[in-house]
Amino acid sequence: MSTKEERERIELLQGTLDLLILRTLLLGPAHGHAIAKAIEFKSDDVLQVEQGSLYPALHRLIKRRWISVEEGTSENNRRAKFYKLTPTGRRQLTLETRKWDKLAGAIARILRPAGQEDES
Amino acid sequence: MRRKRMLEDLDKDIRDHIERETQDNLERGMSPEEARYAAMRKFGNVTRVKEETREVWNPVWIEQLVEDVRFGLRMLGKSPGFTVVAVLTLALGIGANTYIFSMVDALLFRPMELSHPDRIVALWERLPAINNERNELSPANFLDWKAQNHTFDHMAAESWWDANLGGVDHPEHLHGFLVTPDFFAALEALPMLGRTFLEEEGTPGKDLVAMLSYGLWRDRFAGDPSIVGKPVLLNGVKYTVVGVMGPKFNYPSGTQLWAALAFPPPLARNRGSHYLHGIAHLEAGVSRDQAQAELSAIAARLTEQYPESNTGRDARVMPLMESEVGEARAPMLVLLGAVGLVLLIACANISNLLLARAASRQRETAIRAALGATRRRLIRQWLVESMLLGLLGGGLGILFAYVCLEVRVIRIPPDFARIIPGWDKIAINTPVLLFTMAVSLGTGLLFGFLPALAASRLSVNDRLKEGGPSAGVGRRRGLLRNALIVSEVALSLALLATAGLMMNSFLRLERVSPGFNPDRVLTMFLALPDAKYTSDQQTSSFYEQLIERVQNLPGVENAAAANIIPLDKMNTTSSIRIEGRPEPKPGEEPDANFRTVSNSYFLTMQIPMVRGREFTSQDSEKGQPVVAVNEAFAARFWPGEDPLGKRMRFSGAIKEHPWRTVVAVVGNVKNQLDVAAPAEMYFPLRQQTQNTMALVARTTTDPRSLEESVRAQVAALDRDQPVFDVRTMDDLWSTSVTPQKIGGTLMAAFAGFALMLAAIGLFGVIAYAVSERTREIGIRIALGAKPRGIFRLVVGQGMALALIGLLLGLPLALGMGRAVSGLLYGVAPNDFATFAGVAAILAAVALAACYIPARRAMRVDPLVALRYE
Repeated sequence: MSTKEERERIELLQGTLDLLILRTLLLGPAHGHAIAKAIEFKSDDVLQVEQGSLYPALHRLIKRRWISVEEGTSENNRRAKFYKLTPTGRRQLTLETRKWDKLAGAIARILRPAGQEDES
Repeated sequence: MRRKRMLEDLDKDIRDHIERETQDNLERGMSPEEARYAAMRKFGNVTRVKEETREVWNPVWIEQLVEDVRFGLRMLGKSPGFTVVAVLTLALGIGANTYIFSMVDALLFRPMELSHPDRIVALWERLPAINNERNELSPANFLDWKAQNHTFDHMAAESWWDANLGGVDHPEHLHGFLVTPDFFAALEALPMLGRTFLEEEGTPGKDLVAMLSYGLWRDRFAGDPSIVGKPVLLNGVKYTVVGVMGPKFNYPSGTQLWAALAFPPPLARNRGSHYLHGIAHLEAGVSRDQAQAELSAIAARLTEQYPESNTGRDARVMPLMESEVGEARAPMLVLLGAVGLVLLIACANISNLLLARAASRQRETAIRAALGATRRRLIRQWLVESMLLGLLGGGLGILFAYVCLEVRVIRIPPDFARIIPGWDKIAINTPVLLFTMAVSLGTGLLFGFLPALAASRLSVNDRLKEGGPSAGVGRRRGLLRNALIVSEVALSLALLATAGLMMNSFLRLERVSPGFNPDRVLTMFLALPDAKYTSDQQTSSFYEQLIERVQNLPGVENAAAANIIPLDKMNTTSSIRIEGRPEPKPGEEPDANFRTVSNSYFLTMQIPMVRGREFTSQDSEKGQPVVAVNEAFAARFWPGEDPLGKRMRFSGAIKEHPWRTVVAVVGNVKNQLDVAAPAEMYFPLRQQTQNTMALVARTTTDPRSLEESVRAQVAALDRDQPVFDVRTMDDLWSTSVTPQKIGGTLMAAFAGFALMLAAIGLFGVIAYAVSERTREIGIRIALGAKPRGIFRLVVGQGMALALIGLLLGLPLALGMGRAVSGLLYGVAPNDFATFAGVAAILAAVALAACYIPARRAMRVDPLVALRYE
């Protein structure tokens, strides 16, 4: 791992992890490790999840009933907990995604006002 | 629950996760060690992850509660004056509740330890025609009930028994009970050592077996573990100890030993002597109502079969627990109600303090609201603070109650305490602590609720601005404070009136003449055993010799003996016939109390001899049968006639119960101070001999100082003969007023506390009103108002509140009076003098409470006042 790589990796903003988990689960139920892998993989390893922080986030989502848990067998035939998006979670994801887009757009506009766009 | 389920597998989940990551790393070609380290690094701090995950499930309210508690404690610490006053007030209020509840719990809720209180019942005969709901059973009736019922699996009878323990260094009288073998099974009681009685031990000849109580076994038999099978000498007869009961078994309350009760043939047919207490155990699946119905049916059959003895006799089945609670019930409930009211008054006081506090903390509240605290959150924060106060007060209150129990604020004579079921179990135990905890929290909610609502009802803008409270809120709060004070005064009046009535009863009872002179009289009981004193002559001679010896002791004025002494709560009754009257119908036979007394009994007790003469040595076995009657007896059976020379006899065969001629009419003597003396007759010792008699000696000095020399005279006559229940007549007298004394003094203490609280409350409200109106008062003075006018203004405001309180309290007080009417003696529940007196006291105290703020108002300097604020 080079130092350059390290610097380009981004620590997750608080709360975004929840959103990412929901998004990941939209594709289907997954176990904890798979979720972590998926997030890292999809973001081309830019988003670096300290994998442990996944668990408080998962439990937070369970408590809000946005995801549910069920027992299942993983690809290599091991028992594992599978996390699954609930209908509420699905609705929430739409809502949060919209919010996120708004926020991201707003921040982008502030960081790159129309006049300076070319300079960067 | 969900929290627990979710957190269950967390450890395993994390382990799995790290393993998977390790596996991935291995596949990427890392060495096993490296792979594992990398996985761990990537996962992060496992402990923190677990902690954070767990925190997710911690309910938010707990966090907030912790915050609120911390903040509340800080706020209480900041105003120590307020906190100390509030906590002390609550400690006294809650402590009094804890104290009374500890007694209620022991005496009313759990007077005895029973594993299945709903299955174990007491049995009584019931005579509805004469309103007697609890009459003892006769042996034959008991045996028939036991033989004919199908609803009880065990039925037992018990009878009080004087047992003289012999064969030891100091002969001792024991409080014994004779019980039929089923007794222990009916109570589901098992012995600690040995066994209980066998069925066959309930038959004559096989009944010389005894069970020891734990206390007796420990104290008199040195806890001998091999006591079972050993003999004990009781009343001169050898009994075999078959078992020892555990320390918790205490029924009937205060019993030291139990012996088997058998009914020899003549007794087994007896339906006229009612002296047995019945207990029974319901068969599984049988309800009490079914058992009651069956016993009533059996009783009805017996009435048909034996009309002379059983007319009007029904049966009664009641829970043993209820039967045991007895007389303690009404006064304890009154006291519990009273301390409840005291606590309400304390609550009102603290509410008032909190309202003032809410006013002075408006800015703080406003800032919190401005920073986003919802109203609900604000209210909760205030409530948490009040509940903290409640808990602090409760904690101190427990200590207070504990001290009251330890130093025995309530003292009752030990002889009396022994027989009160549950008295020995009064303590600050778990149920009492739970009660106090609930009361503390409830109290906090109660007094904190209104102030919390008031404190949180505000608009942020108004509050953040400098300046006084807006008019609307101020007035509402003022109204609230006034309402609280009015209710305090009203409740205080009710308490004071009740206390007044009860104190009045007690004082009147104290002044009741018992019909004899209780000063300087020593009494002690002796129970001469049948085995040793086989004939009536022997027994009578013993007592006559003893009386003569005691009579000759220096310091003794007179001595005599009687089988029943006044104020002792004991009684013997018999149905009688009056000569020349038609034979009464069965069930309608007149009865009267009877006593056996020695010569010069009336002289010794100083019972007035109205007509006739004292018993003399001529009234012997061979002499003409005679009787002395009291005035109540004369008035009942020979109204308007001269009783002297008239004749009466016990009912039953005339051969056994000959006519007796009245030779004296004596004054009425009270057996209970609060009950009018019933018809009573006295028989001479030699004509109606009793084995158990009380020696009474009137002394010239402190009667207690003669106890040893009197005991020595008993020992000189029979060194194996113990004496028991050594008391002075003064002891008996004070025991008989004890309930009223305790009730009256406790009520007075509670009412005094209530009065003090109301006075403090009123003072606080008026002082606060004066400080709020300083500017107005200043202007009045500046405009020429006279100090006297100002004084009148302030006092008028306070007294108006007090008067409204008095008026509203009056119906409440009348209601309370009616509620305690059963406990009153010689005072009507709406006694005018008592009510007027306590109202006057309350008004005077209210006036005093207004006086200081009013003086302060008079001295307001207009210049200072106008600059005020």
